[in-house]
Amino acid sequence: MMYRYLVLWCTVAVVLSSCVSELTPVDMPVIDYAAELAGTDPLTEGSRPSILSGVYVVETGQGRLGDTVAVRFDGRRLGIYAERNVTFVGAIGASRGDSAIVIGTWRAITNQDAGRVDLVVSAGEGGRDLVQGKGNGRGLILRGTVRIGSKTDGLVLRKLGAIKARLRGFQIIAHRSGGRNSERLGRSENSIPMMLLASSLGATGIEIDVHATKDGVPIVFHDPTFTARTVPSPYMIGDVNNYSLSQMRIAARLVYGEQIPTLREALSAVIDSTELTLVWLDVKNASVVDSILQIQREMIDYGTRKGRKLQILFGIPSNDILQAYEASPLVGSVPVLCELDPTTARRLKAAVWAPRFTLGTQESVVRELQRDGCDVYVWTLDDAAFIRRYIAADLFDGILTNYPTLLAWGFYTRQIEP
Amino acid sequence: MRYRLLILTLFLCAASAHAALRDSLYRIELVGSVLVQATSYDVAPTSLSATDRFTGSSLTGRAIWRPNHLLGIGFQTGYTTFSAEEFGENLPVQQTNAYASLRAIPLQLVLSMRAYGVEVGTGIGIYLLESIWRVNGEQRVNSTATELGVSSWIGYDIEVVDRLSFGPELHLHVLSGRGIVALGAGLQIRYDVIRY
Repeated sequence: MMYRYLVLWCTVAVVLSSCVSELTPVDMPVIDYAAELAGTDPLTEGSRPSILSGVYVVETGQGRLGDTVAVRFDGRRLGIYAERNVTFVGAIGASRGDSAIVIGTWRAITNQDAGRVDLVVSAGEGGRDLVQGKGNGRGLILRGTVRIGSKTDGLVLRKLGAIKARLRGFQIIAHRSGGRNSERLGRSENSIPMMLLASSLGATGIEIDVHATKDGVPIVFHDPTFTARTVPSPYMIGDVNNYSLSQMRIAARLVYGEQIPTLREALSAVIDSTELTLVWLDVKNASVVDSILQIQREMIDYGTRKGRKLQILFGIPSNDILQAYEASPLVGSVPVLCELDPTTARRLKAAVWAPRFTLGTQESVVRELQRDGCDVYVWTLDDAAFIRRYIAADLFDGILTNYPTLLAWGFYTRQIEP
Repeated sequence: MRYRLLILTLFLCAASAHAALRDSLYRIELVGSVLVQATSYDVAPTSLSATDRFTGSSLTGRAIWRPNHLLGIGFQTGYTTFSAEEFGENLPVQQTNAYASLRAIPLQLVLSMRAYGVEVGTGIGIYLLESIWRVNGEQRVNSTATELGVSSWIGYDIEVVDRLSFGPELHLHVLSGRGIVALGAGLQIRYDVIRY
């Protein structure tokens, strides 16, 4: 009898203590780019990045990438974006003789595959033209392998055509500065390392969340409370604004060990170390609206001095933030993104109106606001079918998503320029 | 309220007096324990912490109704200090010292089995966590949160007088959501409030 009850208690204890499903980290390969690219030349000398950028058909490797991928190349960094398993490749391109080489990391977000990619554009498959900056790259072939664990698969990508630009421009906006902790990207959401990764994920802009410390310092953090999901330190519990910045500096580390950045630190990092063109400040705490506006103004000036084309938008998601904004002596001094109704967006002369996607495309209202010079971003789209539908509408000037890779794929492959 | 308390007191007195007259099969017991506790965190609490293991203390109290079965059911609470530490050097900010501590009050439904003086039990419920901070002896901050957790214990008691017994106890707290495991060892004292 005693034995049966003992087994029962032990079972209950084991089951209950196992209720938390911890996210296992995804190990990305570490590549020593300096060593591996020794003896190569940058592709920018003589070549044109647009030759390598484009929409590619996947001839080998459809099981991992799907039928088409988008490739973006800025002269050094190369990104490949695929719909299948929301896969992205962050790589470096260089030339060696008449050929181009590309090495980088592979990550599939929905199935956690991670590995290394090695690609070559040989001289006879478009490499010579690429290095010499000739032609448009149509028919160019990226050929190589992806190694995931002990398995190596072949990849062959053939360029179909160029990426078609949109006249009004288009922002691929990454939620929580690039990705959520649940995506296991090796960087914490709303951390500076995640902001630095955002471009590799396909984003052209980021949304960051702004809370406040007890001593009134705006910080970049999503939730109103500290939980084990975001800050594992056992001393950091309860409301974020119970703690001063100095206390956070002592004890608060994000899940991958980073500090919680102040708003000023985050914007400085975006200006100094990224090529992002948009930062959407999702303001969560009305008590620090004045401080946020002040920092935003200073950082806009700083970006201008550094020659950066970066738009920093003060987000108004709720009426309490709206009231604090309108009561501020700095009202009207910075560009605003309004998530409230279109009438309020017009009254505020908002640079951007940002409706929720569940309200539908609202075509007539969107077009009317756009005629008045207001851009329209929609949030938050994560489903491939919805992303395709909203892109096909060719209506919005930007989309906010947790999967910038998926949105980049959907946008760049929407229409292939012959 | 006072009439309810009066009625409850009279009921308990009557039940107690009645129960004392005959052999007991049913009872309500109160158990208190004082423990020295070792706590382990999944990760060090701060980047300045030298360890992820700490010693502390724990008080627990539980009331258990034991019907005519091996299983008893009841409620458990207490006060436990998982860790406390001071930081005096290498602070990343301009303070000379800081103190941080994590404490908890469990509020749990418990199931327990007792036979031959040995008791085994499990509690399921919430912990009211409290983080306490002082920087330079000032800026005291108390921040609270709730967390699900389980506790288990095993004890052995010897009756010293009628209804009163005491003995050793091992007590385990597990807050898996926060990566906290604490094991305490100490003494328990048990009193049968009602027998009937």
